[in-house]
Amino acid sequence: MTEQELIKGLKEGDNLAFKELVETKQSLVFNTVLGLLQNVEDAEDVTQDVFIKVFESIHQFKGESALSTWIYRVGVTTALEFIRRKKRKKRFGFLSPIFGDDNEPTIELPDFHHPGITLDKKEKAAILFKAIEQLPENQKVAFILNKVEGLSYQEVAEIMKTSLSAVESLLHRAKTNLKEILKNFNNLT
Amino acid sequence: MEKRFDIEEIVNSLDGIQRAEPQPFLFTRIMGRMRKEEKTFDQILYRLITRPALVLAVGCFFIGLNTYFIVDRLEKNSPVVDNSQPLAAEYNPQHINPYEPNEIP
Repeated sequence: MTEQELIKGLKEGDNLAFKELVETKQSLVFNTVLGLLQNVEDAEDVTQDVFIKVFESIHQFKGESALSTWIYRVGVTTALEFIRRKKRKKRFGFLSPIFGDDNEPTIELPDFHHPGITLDKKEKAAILFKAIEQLPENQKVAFILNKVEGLSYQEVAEIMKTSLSAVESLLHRAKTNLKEILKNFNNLT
Repeated sequence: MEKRFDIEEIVNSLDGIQRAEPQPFLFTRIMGRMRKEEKTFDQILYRLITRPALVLAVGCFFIGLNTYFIVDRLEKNSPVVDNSQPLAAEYNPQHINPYEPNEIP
């Protein structure tokens, strides 16, 4: 199925087209979302949300970019919304008895080990992921898309709807900030 | 110098990372979830309207509304005291002669 046929099928609500989309793009979405959320269970849930969103809002896709670029965008937005919601829940946790809670315990997550990392780099990568958590949102997105998803600067720029030079600058600042955060980690230990 | 080397190594630790894959049968799970979401709309509505904050707000609204109507009715039923009659009697305009000179006798 070509991309045009896939889009046409999705717009007609065809389940077979949707199945094809999920099967071909699932690792792309899951890997990006996992990099941002750093939690496998949350990433599984958000990946499902992303595909449901894509299926329900395919009519908004105007074909100005590649389908994968648009899916990346939906994935990043959904993951960031999830993070913000989680942070809000944590911040206003004391209000949950008044507003009715979903009985979700708010616990600190342990070190994140990305399943795609070789054993010898596991510990170092876990430290890096902890540092990535502290980056500003746009630097974090650019770094994950480039380093975890392996996308070029140009592709990152298209997903983030920004210029190539802006992405270069974002990644440069992300690396500088990461080194600074890691230096503090070193001083603490 | 040793710390600097470690930091560089940590920053580059994602080089050669493999893509992570989700659990199998993702499509089946998505379809199941979409069906479940359709089914649970009533449950969501029930959960929403039974939230303590909403119940409290609706309760306060009705109590406020009742108080307003009760106060309004009490105000309407209370007898109106007309103070204009004694005042008019005291300063009866019929006895006022406009031609009477305003002089002290």
